[in-house]
Amino acid sequence: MLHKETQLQQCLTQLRTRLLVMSAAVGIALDEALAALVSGNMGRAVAVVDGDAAINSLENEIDEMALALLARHQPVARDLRLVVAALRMVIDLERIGDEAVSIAERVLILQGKPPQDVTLAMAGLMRTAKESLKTAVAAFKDADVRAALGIIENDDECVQKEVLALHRMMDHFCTDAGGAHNSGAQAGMHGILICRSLNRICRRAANMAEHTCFIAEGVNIKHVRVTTDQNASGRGGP
Amino acid sequence: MDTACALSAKNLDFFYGPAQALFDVSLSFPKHRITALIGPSGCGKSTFLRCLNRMNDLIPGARVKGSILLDEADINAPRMDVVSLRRRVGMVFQKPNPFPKTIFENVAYGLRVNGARNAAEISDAVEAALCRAAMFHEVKDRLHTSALGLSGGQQQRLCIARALAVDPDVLLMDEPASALDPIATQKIEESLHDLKKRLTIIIVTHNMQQAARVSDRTAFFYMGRLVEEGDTETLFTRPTEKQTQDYITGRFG
Repeated sequence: MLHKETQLQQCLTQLRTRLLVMSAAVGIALDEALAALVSGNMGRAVAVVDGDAAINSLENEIDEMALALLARHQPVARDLRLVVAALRMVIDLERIGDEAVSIAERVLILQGKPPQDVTLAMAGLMRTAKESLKTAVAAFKDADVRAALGIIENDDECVQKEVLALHRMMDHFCTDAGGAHNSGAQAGMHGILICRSLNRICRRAANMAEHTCFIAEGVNIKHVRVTTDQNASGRGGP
Repeated sequence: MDTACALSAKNLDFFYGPAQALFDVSLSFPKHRITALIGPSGCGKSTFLRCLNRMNDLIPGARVKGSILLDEADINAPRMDVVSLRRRVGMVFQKPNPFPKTIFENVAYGLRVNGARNAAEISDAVEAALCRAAMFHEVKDRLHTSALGLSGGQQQRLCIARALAVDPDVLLMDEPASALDPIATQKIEESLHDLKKRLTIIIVTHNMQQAARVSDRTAFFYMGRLVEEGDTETLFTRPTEKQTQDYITGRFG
């Protein structure tokens, strides 16, 4: 009953592949930005800033592929959901790329010397952001709804870690604010902005997880509190 | 029968001699809605459509089991007047088939068969039917010229007007735009949108996009069975059955 891959299916495979390429590029940008932050390596930070153009052009490429696919093939059902989700997902990925650039730029502003206690304060949040993105990409790649829902459920973890990081940052700010050239205050401010970036990355990863659920189940779970148990009893359509 | 339904088939089996073409099909058609019947060639959708106004009666050896209710009356009952049934359940075919008569006479034909004699009333009804088929303004100055001089798209809309002239409750359409260009197709699709305010439409189409564009409900047939039916938007975005998903996404058929 099933035949060789149609032109539509080939285009969908290409779209999916380019999304995964973009996901990998964004993942590398985030890893490198955080590595630059922790190590104070300005060269790595510059590379992240310079690499953003490639991510932006991938966004344009995927947008064009999705539009052409809609215009030429009028996909339906799961195929349509993949194209719609791809159009949304590239926005999330591009914004994560921008946050990585923002973190890298702060490393450059701080002359590659962010105080160690600032980076230590946000170590947990950095791990969560990296892990969220990695899991969201893997869930999309494997169409793993359970893993995707896990990211959405762990949304609170990101908030808690951000609050913790901000508290630690404030401690640093208060004890070192009067130091020479007010460097503690400056580092604290940049630290807070980096925390914001990391929080946004977690949110974007959660959005990607929602798109994965939409592709697999056809149900929009944005702004709805769901659990993996609820999903197990979902409609289970193709 | 559900009073909100114009027609309702229940446990319908259909046979061409010894070969069974439909298996236990139950499907209702809500009033003032367009229902699309989709499925691969030979799946039984056209056979099912023709069951709805007994067009299959003309095929030797054809027989039907189960019921089709129109206003609580079984259309296959022996006392059913088939001419009256086909007035109430009109049909438009794949290929435009105007009579070799004038445009006016084509539309007036059904009215005369049904006993209309008053010239003014016939003239009004012809104009109304042509308006409803969205072609009166195109042909108003040549109503008494041959229908065979019209383009393919106009001929098909004339056939729709001819079916509408007798004021049916249900209009059956068997791939009505498959032989037409995109502009003629668009005109027919636009007219369907207005027509459903007055009647119930059931359309067989091989064109998935057309089904998605024009219908409110869609039913998917495969190998003589009704696999899935439901709200068109749902069926084309998240079908329940894997066979439906595979067919509408072009993975078989």
